[in-house]
Amino acid sequence: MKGKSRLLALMLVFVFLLSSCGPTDPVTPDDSSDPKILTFAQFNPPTGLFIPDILTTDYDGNITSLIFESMIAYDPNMEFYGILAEDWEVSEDNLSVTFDLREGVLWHDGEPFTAEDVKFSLMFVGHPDYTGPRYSNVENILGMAAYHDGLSDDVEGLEIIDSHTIKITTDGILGSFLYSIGTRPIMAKHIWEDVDVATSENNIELSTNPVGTGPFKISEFAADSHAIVEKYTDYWGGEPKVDKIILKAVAVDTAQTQMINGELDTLILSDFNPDVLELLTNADIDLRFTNTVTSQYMGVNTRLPQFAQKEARQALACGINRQEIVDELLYGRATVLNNPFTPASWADPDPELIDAYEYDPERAIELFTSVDGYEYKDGVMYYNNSPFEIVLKYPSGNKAREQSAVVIQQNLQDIGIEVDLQIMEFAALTAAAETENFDLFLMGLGTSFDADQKYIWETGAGFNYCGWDDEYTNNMLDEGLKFVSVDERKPIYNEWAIYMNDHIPNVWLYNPQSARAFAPRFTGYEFGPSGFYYKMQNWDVK
Amino acid sequence: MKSYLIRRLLLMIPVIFGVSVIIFTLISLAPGDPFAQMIEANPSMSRADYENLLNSIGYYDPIPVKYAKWAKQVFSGSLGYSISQKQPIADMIGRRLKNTLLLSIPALVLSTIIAIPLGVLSATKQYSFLDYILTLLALAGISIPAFFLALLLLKYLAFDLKLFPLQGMETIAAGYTGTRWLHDRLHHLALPLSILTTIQVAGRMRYTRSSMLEIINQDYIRTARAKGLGEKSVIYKHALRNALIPVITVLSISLGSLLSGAILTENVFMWPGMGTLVYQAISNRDYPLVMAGTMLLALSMLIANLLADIAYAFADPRIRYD
Repeated sequence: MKGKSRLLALMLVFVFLLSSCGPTDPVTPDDSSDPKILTFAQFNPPTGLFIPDILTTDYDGNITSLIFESMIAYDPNMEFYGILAEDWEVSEDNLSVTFDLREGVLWHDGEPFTAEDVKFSLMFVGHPDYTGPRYSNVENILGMAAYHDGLSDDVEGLEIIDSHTIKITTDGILGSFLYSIGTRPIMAKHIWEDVDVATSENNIELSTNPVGTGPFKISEFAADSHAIVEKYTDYWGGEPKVDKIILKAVAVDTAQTQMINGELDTLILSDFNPDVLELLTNADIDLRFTNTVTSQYMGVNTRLPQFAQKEARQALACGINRQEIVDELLYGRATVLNNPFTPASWADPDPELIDAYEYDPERAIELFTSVDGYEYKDGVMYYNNSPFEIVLKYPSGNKAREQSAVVIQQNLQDIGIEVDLQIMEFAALTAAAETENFDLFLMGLGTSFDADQKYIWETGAGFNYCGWDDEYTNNMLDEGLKFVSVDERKPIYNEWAIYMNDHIPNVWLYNPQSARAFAPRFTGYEFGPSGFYYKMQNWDVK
Repeated sequence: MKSYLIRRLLLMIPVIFGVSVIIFTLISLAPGDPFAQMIEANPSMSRADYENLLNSIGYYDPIPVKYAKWAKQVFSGSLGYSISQKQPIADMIGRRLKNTLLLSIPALVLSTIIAIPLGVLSATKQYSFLDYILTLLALAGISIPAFFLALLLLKYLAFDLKLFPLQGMETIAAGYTGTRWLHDRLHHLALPLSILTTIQVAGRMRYTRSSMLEIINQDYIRTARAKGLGEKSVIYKHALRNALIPVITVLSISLGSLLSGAILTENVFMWPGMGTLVYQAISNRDYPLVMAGTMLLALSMLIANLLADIAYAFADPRIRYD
């Protein structure tokens, strides 16, 4: 007994010693003489691959967004604004855009920024040995394909007019020009020109010491832990008000708690539970919600005879209470979707013009039985004389999506359809979708800010998991790319969206809002569908 | 002993080979690929770009070819580059290994130091009040999942009372040096270490207790008492030494899981260790990283088993390897 109490006493002393002084340390500055430091949270540590054209995770992208800049970008209202380009002009024939680049911009190492850097950056992505995933952004530049295949040394579509003017020409009209090409991050030619492109992704020296033109430059990177950027005093847009920004990994379980504790200055919110949100607002934390271009949908295998007719797919949409999924699982922080575009997109048609497919089990049954082969009797749906059974595959990870699978199962059970739920890893689900091995599946889709959706809906497109093979769609998607201005493209996409709403090749579920929490001491930020990396020199600490 | 050791070490080679073939085949057969996660984040990536990425890692090679390529790389002394992070795997594992051992070795030592005396006490005072309390605590310790205990402690000690930091290994950008730095590190280590220790104490104490109880009722213990030996000598010299043999087995198994045993604790505390690395590697299908990580786990398990066998010889003079 004596030994035990001695041990206990020892442990108490140990705990006391360790806990004695920590929290009173002046870790976060509140004096105006102290440096202004912001702490940003993410759910995984940065990996150190700070090359914007090669990186593949947001955990690195969050850092390069502070360091690198593009010629133009979307502002919080989803309009383009100039960053490295002061102005840009689309040619009469819609084939080329001339960018007037900003003068007096210096790279973080003091070298001047010129049109050569722009040309080099776009050619880097098109280089035959380039290993990253972004070649498709530049492949339409005139002469890029030949350069990519090693047939030429130069790209004729990249024409340097003078040191700060570049004219970029495409080989055909590219509707998504400004997005695909204009928003590419620009790298420094003088740093990268002698680097072997094939092994650049493994060049740790360069990738962990990025040199950009943005308001912040790298100051420290600790693998598996965090990265720190500091203000770039010679920034062309004015000296940033914040001295340093720490980007560190936090656990999903404790992130909100740390936010309330004042240890973090901004955090992406993934849980919209009102109780949690109330705790945050009670701590004077600013919660900002915005529309997004991401959506959740239920893929339908249109190759299967039971789903080949549009009425059967419309029936599925009517048979699922999507509003309940939005209200109950997403606490209303989402919009039910009925066409390929989200409300954040300029291509989204007037809701008056499309079918809302409101939850209506009777209409669902009616629609099903209007298709040959379906029969509904005694509360059971039959297809070709046997009870109709469907397998619904869905990935683990997204809580609301996992729960919506159960709602779908119950809803369809109510109209006599047996749904077998199969949960799997995301990687396994994409494999099933690619090999056409599914009836229905749930997946998320982060469409690009541009309206082009050829990569999803064109016959044989890579992400055309549903097997949509439709000539009208192919034509309309081509048509939409024949103009660069939004005004001319809008009617084409609107018309196509109305058609897609009627043919409903997959069942769109909802468009979740995205949200960010901002600490009360953090000021000068703006948040929109394109994120919050906007005029970062104005960020400040109260 | 020497020839036994050599034989055992040589035997490890075919075992390691077999394990590598099995793991390699399993992870290659698992559906999915390393870039599937990227689709959801960046669906405007063209199919051709996607295929290029897959081809660049030899995704479509037959499994034996893939295995040969991997084995060649290992024999050339390089573990290759991680697909998801593009870094040399040896560096990544080196860093993570250090962090995990920093957490798991103290936990192993502390929990053993606490568990064995408590187990002995609990056995010698069987059915006493103390025994009941310890049994109850042990049961609670075994039943409560590590992450749950972690969250509870975080709520009370770190959030409400603010005695400990919520997570991480150190205060970032504080620039501490010397004792200040050491204190900061220990301050961050305290909570995860206590959780890991608590969980391990529970199990190990129960093993010690039951093994001890079995011995205490043996005839030779009665003989020792009958010939007038002091209670201390009976318990610690005669009984404990025999009772320790099964405990050593349990300990050696924990030794093998030094690298992987802390995964839940690592996750809650954002402790950048081996457990989270291997877990993420598997869900990202980062094949070379999965292989390196799991092979290291397999190797540590084999070595732990060997150490256990050697330890037997020391604890029990009847066991001889000749």
